[in-house]
Amino acid sequence: MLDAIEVTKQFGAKRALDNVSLSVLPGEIYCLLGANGAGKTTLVNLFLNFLQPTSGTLQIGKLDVVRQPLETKRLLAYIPEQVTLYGVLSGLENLAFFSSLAIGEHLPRQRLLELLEAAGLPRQAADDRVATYSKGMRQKVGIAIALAKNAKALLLDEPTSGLDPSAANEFSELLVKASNDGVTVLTTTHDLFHAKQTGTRIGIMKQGRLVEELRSEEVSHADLEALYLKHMKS
Amino acid sequence: MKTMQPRPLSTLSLIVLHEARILVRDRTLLLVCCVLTLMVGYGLFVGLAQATLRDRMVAQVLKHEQETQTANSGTLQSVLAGQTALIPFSNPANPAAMAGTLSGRYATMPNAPLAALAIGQSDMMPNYYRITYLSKVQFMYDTEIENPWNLLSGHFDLAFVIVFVLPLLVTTLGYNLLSAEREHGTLRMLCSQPLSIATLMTGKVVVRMLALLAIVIPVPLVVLLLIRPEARGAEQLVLMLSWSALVAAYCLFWFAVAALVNTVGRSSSTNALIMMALWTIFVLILPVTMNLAVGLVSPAPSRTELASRTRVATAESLREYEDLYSADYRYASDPEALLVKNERIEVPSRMRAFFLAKQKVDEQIEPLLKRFDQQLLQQQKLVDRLSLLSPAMLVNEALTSIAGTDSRRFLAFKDQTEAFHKRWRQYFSPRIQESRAMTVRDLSSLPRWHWVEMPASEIRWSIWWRAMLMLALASVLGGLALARSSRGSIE
Ligand SMILES: Nc1ncnc2c1ncn2[C@@H]1O[C@H](COP(=O)(O)OP(=O)(O)OP(=O)(O)O)[C@@H](O)[C@H]1O
Ligand SMILES: [Mg+2]
Repeated sequence: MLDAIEVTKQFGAKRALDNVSLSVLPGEIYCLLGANGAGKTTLVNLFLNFLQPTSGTLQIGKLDVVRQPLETKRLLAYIPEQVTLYGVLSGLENLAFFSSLAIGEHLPRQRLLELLEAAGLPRQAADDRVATYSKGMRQKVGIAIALAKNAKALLLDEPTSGLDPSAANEFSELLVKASNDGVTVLTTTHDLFHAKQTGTRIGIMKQGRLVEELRSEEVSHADLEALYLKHMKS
Repeated sequence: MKTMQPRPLSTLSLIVLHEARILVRDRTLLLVCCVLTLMVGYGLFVGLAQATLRDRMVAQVLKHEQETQTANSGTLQSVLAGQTALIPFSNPANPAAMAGTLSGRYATMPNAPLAALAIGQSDMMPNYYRITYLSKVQFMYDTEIENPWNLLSGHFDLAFVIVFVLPLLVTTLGYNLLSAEREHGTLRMLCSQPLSIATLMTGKVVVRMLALLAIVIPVPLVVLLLIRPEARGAEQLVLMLSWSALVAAYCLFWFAVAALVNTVGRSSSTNALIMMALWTIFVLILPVTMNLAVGLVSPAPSRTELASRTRVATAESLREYEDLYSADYRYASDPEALLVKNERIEVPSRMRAFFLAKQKVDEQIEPLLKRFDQQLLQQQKLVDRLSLLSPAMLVNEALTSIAGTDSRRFLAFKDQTEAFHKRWRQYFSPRIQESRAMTVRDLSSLPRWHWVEMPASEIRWSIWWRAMLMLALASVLGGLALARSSRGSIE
């Protein structure tokens, strides 16, 4: 469903991604690990066509990301590390706008409230201006937007950053539920525990290269940590 | 996988509604619209005041003409009845006196119906001339001959608001069209949806442009229709339509520039700087440079040359009619000379000399004046051509032709006045030569001034092609901006 084929991305002299190939199947939750600057965000941005690859191709459901940007984005939902919304609008209004943009129709208020609730936003905050929200609250609106889209694939860049542990947990449950429904998930994270817990597959990146891929059921938490540290040190 | 959901809502309309809501909420739009309304109101007021002043001038002149005519025919009747004897200068029976200032004849140019839309040249060029047998040099070339392009010395009229201020307001609303979303971070959220940057930019421009145009177009037109009845004809409606098209195209041009800058520049502050630089170049520097260029390539006719040539011609004609000039006024010694006899009256030879001398001066100076006019025409043509380089000039030229305050109309007025002046002399010349006294019927059938409006089709054409050119320019830039927006990263 999500395919990166021999992707290289160069920023001037800096090679952010070096011949990365990766494939995520429907129903999988693929967790990308790696140190700061390893190239995780760059890979996600490439799938979103925010950046164009220097070489290689990226496909979503066999559609080329660069050549069919609008079609591929219909299949995707995305939650960035920092969800940014329109401060002058309420959480509900932001959700209404982005969801209608995503699916091409207005959802009824009741449905919007359900989505916000599912994302964990307190009901009484829904009509407050987003300018008054905390980072975690904005993140939850971002989750609601992704849920509204009912997308076939989820691209998540440290989506739980800023969420409190229980909210992060609830989010993990949402992910598992989605993957059981056949949704493809690619997520970056620094949380090894979370990766092992929710991920079905784990990739470790280092200096723009994918250095390790493994199934999470094949490793224990301790093994994963050891493996990660080994890669980071060498 | 490829099945797409139906999209009952067009993405563009979603963006338009969303943008409108954001702009209303954060008050930018309100502020900009208030500023624009105030300026449009003031500019229109200035234009209306000028138009009213000119209306009044023409009305006064015509009233004076009417009164003089009535007084003259009264006096003439009593002179013919032998009740009054008047010295030749104030005697309406004397054709030389009537050919001079006694007749109180004027050539006038009325305001065009939409004059209030632009002051143009109307504060520098006369809209009436007093017609006498005096030399053209004395009554038509006594004001400074100006370069026909004179935007910068302009007033704060509606044309100024459109040409100068509107681009600044477009800049205010458009310099951060995309950069703000990028800097704020919402661009990533938008672009993760099936939305192209081209659609996003189009939507943003549509809202902003509609807001500005909703003020700048209807406000002046409604005010004009309400308070100037002459603005209500079908011809005027077509002009108003072309005016609206022109303003809309100019507005679109600046939004296209803003959009293009947003696809090139990075930060909002950089964009703002680029926009200010472009405004300065297009609206200030280019017109001034072109003003200078026009002056260099086709210099304004030399006034000193005209003055000295006139002096020479006057001296020559004095010499030519020396005999007539030196003759004494006979009526001082012979009061009989003041009377009309057998429809004849003695025109004092000095007055005849005066008439002939002035005619002579004009004949002598004619080639030079022709060259003057040629040069003015040349300048006008040059301005027309150069104005293609600056949208501000292009629009200003068209705005003034809609208002009828462009130099072309004033030149037409001058031409017609010259022709009338000639006719005036021709009418009197035989009467003065043959000492024929003016009759009451003559007085009411003196050559009449008729202003012939410039052909509407010509004006319309000159406006529409400018509007179309402006629109084409805006479309090219806009197209370029949209094409650029679909490429490259959003980071
Ligand atoms: N727009 C850019 N221009 C130049 N270099 C960039 C750009 N974006 C990313 N990079 C570089 O590419 C490399 C990979 O960055 P990336 O953001 O993908 O890392 P990451 O794995 O997401 O890190 P983190 O864990 O801190 O989020 C970094 O060295 C970064 O400096
Ligand atoms: Mg990152």
